[in-house]
Amino acid sequence: MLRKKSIGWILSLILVLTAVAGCSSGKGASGDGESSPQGTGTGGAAQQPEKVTLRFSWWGSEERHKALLEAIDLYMEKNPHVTIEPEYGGFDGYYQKLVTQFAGNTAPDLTPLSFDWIQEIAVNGDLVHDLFQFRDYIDLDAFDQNLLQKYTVFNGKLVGLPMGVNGMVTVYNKEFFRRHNIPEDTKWDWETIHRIGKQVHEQNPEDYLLGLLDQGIYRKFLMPFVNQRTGNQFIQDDYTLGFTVEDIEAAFAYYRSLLDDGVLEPVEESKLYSTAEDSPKWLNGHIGITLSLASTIPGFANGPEVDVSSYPIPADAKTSGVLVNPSNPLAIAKSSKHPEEAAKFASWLLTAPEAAEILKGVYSVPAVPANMTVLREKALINPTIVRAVEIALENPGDPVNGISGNSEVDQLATDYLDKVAFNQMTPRAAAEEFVSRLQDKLAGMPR
Amino acid sequence: MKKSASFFSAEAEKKDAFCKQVLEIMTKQRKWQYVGLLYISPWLIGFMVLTLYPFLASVYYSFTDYSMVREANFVGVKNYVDMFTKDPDFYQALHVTFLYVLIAVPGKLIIALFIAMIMNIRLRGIHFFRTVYYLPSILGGSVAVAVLWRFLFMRDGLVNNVLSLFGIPPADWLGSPDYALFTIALLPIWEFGSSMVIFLAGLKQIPGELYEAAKVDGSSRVRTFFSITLPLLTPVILFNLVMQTINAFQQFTAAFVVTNGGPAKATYLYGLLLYNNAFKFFKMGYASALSWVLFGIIFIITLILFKSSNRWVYYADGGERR
Repeated sequence: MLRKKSIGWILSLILVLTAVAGCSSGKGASGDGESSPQGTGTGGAAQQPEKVTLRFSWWGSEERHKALLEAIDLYMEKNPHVTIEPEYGGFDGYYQKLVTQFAGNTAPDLTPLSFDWIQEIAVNGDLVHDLFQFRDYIDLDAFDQNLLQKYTVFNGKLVGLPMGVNGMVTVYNKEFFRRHNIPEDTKWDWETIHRIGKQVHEQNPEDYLLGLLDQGIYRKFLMPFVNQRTGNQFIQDDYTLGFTVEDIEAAFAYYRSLLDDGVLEPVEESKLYSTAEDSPKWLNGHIGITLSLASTIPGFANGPEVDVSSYPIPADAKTSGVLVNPSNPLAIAKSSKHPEEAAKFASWLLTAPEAAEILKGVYSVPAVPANMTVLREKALINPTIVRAVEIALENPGDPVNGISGNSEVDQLATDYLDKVAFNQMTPRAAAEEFVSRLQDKLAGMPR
Repeated sequence: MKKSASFFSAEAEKKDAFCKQVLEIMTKQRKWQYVGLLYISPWLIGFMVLTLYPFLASVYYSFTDYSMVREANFVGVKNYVDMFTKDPDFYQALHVTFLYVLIAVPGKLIIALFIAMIMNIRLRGIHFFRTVYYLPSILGGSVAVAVLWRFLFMRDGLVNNVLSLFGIPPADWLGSPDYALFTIALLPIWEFGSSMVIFLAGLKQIPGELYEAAKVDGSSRVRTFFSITLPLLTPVILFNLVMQTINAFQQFTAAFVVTNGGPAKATYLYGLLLYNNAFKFFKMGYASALSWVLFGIIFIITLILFKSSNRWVYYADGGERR
């Protein structure tokens, strides 16, 4: 009896121990992988490079995954001491995962940053390296200097290397223009859109000139529209508003008139799609133009034939408001154990001509002028994307500061545009309430 | 040889004595309790690390301004005060959520009961139908179904196409603020399977002689339903009501995937408000506070349901009051 019980005890002890041991051995193994010696490569000990493993994480399309994987393989072939572990997927949830990794100190060594995360991660959080520190390992001169200084330096720190250049343009359906006798070289401004759009809808009630859709309406419409009137940042660096209630009211009223006069696709129908190029109305040729970033042009391949022209700029605009940004600055996490090796790889990936030939246009147009020339000569990049970026760079707006790109500001603006669109508030009332709530939010935000 | 044998037996005796001692102590301390704990310890550890710790940590974080990328600062009850004084979205979410609960819960229970009554009829192949009607619940809650919902109810979707056959003009089921919440609520109503199974079990419990007696007395079907079936089913109704109410308050997937809270915040459920604050704005402190308020609301409503049950739930054996 006694023996039976002690056997029972022993068995259960074993059960518990294996469960616990199972956990701990797993941890040990993963720990070993990371614990290669620190501080190598700081001096001139480059003769026998230490074996290092870097984690490189990104999001994007299938095409982008394939190109980056190919580039990584080539780099590892040339640098046998470096192992690069790719971690990739779609954009949905990427930011959530990244922030969790930063909080848990398990962030990848290298990751692109979407433009609207820079404030939180690089400036407030101070979680990524100032890449000026690694100028010995990065060929900074290869990049378009103006772009580098203007769009990726925050508080004197280089938060990431631009993976490409991106800009907002007007994308139009060529067949739609032919059908409605709209000249392709029309210089768009807000007034012209309204006038021609009204005519188009009167000619054919099924057709809408503009498909300006829900997601990104703040960046695609409201912010540039207001900036063009004021010449300021939407929200100034000192967290005060760069506009008056009247400016916002004008934007809201204009938006309302687009819907009332059939210029813009009704929100009840557009609400369900996140981008114009996915909506049935666009695919069936019932929409004339949409406002979009150059990098999204490959997504239009499934629909009607498109071309690009300048983002709408009124003649009396104080700033063009044309959004130009480096597509996804590639940053190095402060938790990285081998920042120098990460910097070397990042430099190679974005400046080496051989890498550029692999990446082609997966990050829009390269931010390195020499590579851009190579791609164009060899016809390795979609000419429409190149033209879109060129058009945007002809008249670029000021770089958007961090606080204007804040996600809460974006959400609040979108909410009030919705209230105007669904006739729940007049433009005036919506503008007043929006301003007062925005001021409230800004006052409560940590600086 | 003999010596060693005696050595071993001495050892064994020692061991036995030790074991006896241990056993004695153990008996005093209800040893089996410990053995039991030992057996469930893998679950216990998981529960403490993955449930209890986050649960308690969220109490602490709800009093801070934690944002994941920065250190948490203690801010007292600011998050709770802000919620009630500065956040119109909080009230919007509460409004939408209560409305949603009021549509989805009764809708689901009525449909579940109705189908359960049909499934209770003795028919050939009824088992097959029971399985078929349970299917939506197996599929339910998944993102794929939510996406399907979008396709069904969009402007050129199946629902509008079918309605147009009867000359009904197409409606923006998901694009209009007036209909969107109703359309979203249909999704969980469609997943009535688990409630149906419980109702079915409840129906089977009702003694057949009651129905026979009713028949003899010439009671109509409607009268039988309201005088026998419904009263005897009230304990099961209470159970389903409580479970479904708790679930409904926490609904998230449908609104997130199908409409993302829109149009114009018409489907901005509380779960979505919580998610946006936590994972879009990274206001983890505020989100923790929101989740505790939701917990409070669910707790109070559940309490009210239980209290009210004294008035309307019938226990054949007299229930707690026996």
